[in-house]
Amino acid sequence: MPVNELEREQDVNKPGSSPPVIAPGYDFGQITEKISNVVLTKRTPWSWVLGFFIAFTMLNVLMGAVTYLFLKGTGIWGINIPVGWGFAIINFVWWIGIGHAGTLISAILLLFNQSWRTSINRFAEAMTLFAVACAAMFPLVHTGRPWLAAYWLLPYPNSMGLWPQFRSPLIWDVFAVSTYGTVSLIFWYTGLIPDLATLRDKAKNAFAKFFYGMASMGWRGSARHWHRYETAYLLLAGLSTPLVLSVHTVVSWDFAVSVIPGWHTTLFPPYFVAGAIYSGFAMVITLAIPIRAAYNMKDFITDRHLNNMAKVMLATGLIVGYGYMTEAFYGFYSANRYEAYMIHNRAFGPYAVTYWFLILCNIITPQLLWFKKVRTHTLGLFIISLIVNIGMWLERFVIVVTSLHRDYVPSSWGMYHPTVWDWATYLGTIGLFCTLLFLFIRVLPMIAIFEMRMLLPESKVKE
Amino acid sequence: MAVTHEHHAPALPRPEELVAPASVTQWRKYLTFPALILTLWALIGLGLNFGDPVGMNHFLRAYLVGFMFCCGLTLGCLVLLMVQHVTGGKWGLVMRRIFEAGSRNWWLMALMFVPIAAGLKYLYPWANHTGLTAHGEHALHVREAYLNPKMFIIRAIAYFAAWGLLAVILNRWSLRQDHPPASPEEGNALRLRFMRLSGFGILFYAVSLSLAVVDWVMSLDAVWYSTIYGMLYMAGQALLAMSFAIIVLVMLAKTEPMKHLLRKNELHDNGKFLLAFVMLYTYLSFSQFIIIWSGNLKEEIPWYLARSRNGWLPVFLVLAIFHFVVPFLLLLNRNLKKQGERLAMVAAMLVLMRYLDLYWHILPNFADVSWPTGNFDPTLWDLVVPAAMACVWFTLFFRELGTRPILPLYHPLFPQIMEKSHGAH
Repeated sequence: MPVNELEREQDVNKPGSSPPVIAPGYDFGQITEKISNVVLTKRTPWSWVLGFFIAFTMLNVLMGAVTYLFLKGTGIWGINIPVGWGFAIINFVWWIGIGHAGTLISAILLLFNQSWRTSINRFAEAMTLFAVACAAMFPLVHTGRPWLAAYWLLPYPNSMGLWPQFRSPLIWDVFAVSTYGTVSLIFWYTGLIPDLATLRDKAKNAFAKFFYGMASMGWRGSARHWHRYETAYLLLAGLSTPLVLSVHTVVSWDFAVSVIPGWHTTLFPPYFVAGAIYSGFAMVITLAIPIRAAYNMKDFITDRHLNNMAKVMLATGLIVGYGYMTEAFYGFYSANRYEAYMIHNRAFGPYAVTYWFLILCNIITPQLLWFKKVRTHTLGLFIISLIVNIGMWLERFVIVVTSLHRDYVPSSWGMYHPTVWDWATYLGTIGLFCTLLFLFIRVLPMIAIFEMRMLLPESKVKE
Repeated sequence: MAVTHEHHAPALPRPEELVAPASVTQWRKYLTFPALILTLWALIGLGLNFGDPVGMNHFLRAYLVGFMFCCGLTLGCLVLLMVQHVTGGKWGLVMRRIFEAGSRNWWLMALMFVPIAAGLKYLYPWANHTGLTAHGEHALHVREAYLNPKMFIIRAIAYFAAWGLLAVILNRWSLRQDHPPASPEEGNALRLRFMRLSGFGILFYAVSLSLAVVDWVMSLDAVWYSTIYGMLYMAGQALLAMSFAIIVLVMLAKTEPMKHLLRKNELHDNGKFLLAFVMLYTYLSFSQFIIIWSGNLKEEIPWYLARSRNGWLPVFLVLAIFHFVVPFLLLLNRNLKKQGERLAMVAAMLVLMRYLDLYWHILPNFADVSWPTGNFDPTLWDLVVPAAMACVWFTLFFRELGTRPILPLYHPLFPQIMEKSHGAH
């Protein structure tokens, strides 16, 4: 769907069309100043200090929760038999899903020539990295013995002749997520290099000069540098594209290859991927709206960006809704009493509240996004994006808990109640995420400076 | 290299320059003859076998494959048309009239459905209740209120009516873009109306097609079900219609005006879409496979056993290689996607593979109903009947394609496809 700059420019002149991706009246220098000043200023805004303090406090909650976990073991959590997978997997899937929007924005939208990705790709990619870091916490700590994670998950030749079960998606997940993390990091860093060089050249402080100088790897902006850069960036985009699908597909297989009703369903891979992008875009919106307000970036992250992201959210939300409807239909069509009971139990069982809240958050509320007024109403959109974030968390809760707590034999049914330590770990990863994000905003350019410069009409080269 | 602000807009073509070329009529004439001969052949064969259960079985099974193939062309064109309206890219503008002509064949699909409705008891276990296991009887009993001849036909009428309505409205509105709008606002308002209707249309298509393939194909097996099936058919139809439209586009580009108007960029974009659909279809298909394979449940795994044994394994392998590996590797090549004839050859291979894939989906279902078994045991019917149906479809398609200008001249984006491209990836 290549809507390129030409169309954008035409849009501007048309009644009832979207605003541009960059407000008029900027030149190269002003763009550079505006973005790099956020980083190079000596004054740290009080709102940053306050936000960082809160985030860092939450991060310390994570440290406390994990320390106690390592001391006591997973008994401090609410997991039991039959619900052996509780918050750890719910939060893992939620965080990994959030990361997907960053990759989609940076890779797929680049390949589709979508110019509106430019101002949001940098922090969306950073969001991906931090979300992957939060997600990775859970496989590491979920046994209560992190030193065993490497021992059980990574295949290495050993004298016992023991290997992980290669037919298990859990082991595929180790590779999928670590590949995803690595490629995302390289992609993000490659995109940063020209901007790091800009910061190096503009920095006054000796330490900053040294830091950005090292990080920019000797970038001088020669034609050859740019040529190699463009090639590398395009190739990395190509490499990242399959990862948007593969990571959450493997996550969905973690569930679907089992024979638990509610997990074993062939729709899971596309349904999980759509859900991941859905929650990811919700998170990008949740972050973009306060950031652009705090740093006065409305000229760069325009209403058009919010409008487009809201559209993607609506589309993926509808696919998720299709998934719920399909599950309900096949609960009947399968003519399988366990499948039918699973759907009934979700809607009317002991966890019915979570199911109906999930429908409200994920299916009903986002229908407001059909209206352009809502999509361009900043506060309304912010609230909807928060609701979708909650809804997608509830979705994972419903999938994990309601499927496990009552499967085939009623004598083995049980209930799951998360403990305060479950909540503390979850809250703590939110702290980790926000802390990293605050640091990122303070020390790195949150918007790609040189890509913004390329959006200006002055940079159009006549062939 | 000079830095510039303004765009140089070349003069728009005159309306009479956009009339469908004579070659469209020529293709219709080429196709009319095989369409008539093959249809006659199929009808005579049907007449000779009429009432004979074995002959009727052979005929209707092949017919169902042909029906799903033509349905894929029609609905694929309809949904890609709506996707084009919603996303509004230039890639779709050059394909627009092709998709529209395809969607105008909706009435033919409704007509082609009649023999299926008449022959329900030959095809569907829920209509004839023969050769069922206890499990199958139970499943059909549970579904009885939903899956019975009356409901089946009522649902089909509803689907065709709604699809037809969408096709008729979208085609009618499109005619307005052959004339200059009264004002730019009016042109833009029309574009928004297209967008809104298509948004709802895509939603409706997704839900209705998912239910329709349960009725028409999935229910051939009394027990088996797969929740991804609707999405699988959506991807299959989009792939088929995209392949077909690319072939037509390349044929059109041999003569003016398309020769002059079709640039490498739009061809390349459509090639990218083709690659994306190839990958999407394989992704969905493989997901279904791996989940059913690892679950290994007695309700599910027989579906794959029936399609990899009794002579079906070679078909399965041909599909894996020519529906995925070969087109995937070829389409990765950027130059190939920019060369019309080569791209059209890959697309033609994919059209054939879509037929084979439908054949592989449908025929092995009949293992336990009556003779012949679900062995891979192709008859001449399996080629003649779908070929006759496809030729009729193609003939009517070219007739429709010839009735309108091949591009909507007063589409707001039209001037852009006249502009020189800015180095896209």
